[in-house]
Amino acid sequence: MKAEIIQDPAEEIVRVEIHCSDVTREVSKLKCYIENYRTGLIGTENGTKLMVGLSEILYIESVDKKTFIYTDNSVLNTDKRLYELEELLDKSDFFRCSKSVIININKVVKLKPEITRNILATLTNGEVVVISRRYATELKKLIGV
Amino acid sequence: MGRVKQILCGIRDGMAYAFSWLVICTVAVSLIGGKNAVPVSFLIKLFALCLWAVISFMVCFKTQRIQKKGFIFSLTLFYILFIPVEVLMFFAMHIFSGTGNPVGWIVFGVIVALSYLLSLLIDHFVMKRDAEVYTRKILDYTSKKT
Repeated sequence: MKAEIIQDPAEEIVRVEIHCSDVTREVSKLKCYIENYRTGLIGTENGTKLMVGLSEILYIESVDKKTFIYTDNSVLNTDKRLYELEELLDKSDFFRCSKSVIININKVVKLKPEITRNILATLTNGEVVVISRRYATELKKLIGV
Repeated sequence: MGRVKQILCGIRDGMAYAFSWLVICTVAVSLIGGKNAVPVSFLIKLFALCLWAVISFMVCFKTQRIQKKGFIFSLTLFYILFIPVEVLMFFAMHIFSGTGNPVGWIVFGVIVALSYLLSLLIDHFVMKRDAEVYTRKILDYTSKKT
């Protein structure tokens, strides 16, 4: 596969074209990935709409049908439901770790499995998130344990 | 509100499970012991003990805030909440033929202490070693991506 960047000041948005001889499964997957590629999520904090970079997100939590995005120094509210965000986000970066939480795997610094088969994940800010046993198997598969 | 509902559902399910099993055991023990009846007062005390056990269990093992502190913390808190009440209820229910059966109490104490010790050992040796492996694996995974 060959990738090329063409800089054109006349372009108003970033446009990606895929040139191929046949639309294979991989090509469709690549198109889907590009279409869903995101650099951030929009949330509100004290009534102000803000864009938070994906790399800044620690975890996303749903509490009483409201969804909150947690970063190092802020908590943003979003209109989107947790399952909608799960579909939007890259599964290699964001992992659904319980019915109500999605964590940013890149922010995990420590994992501790428990006798109860849950896993405790410590994030870069020291906060601990519980990975329920239902999702722990999936995590183990992902990281190759 | 959702979490409170979840805990209440857990208490309901736990009570249904624990109380029915204990009633079956009580009936079995009574029949084996040649008694054909179980006093209502005994069943009420059994119900109260079950309720406290299930509430303690739900608080210690199913609430997010306590779960985050780890299994040993949850277990310790559960023991602190439940064991003294269990001892008092055992006295009240004359489980060990009244209050003066030291062998029964020693067996009970040994079971409680051994199960706690076993949990400590598993957590300290097995889980600690697994934690190192898991941590190394996730750090490898994230470093490969970047």
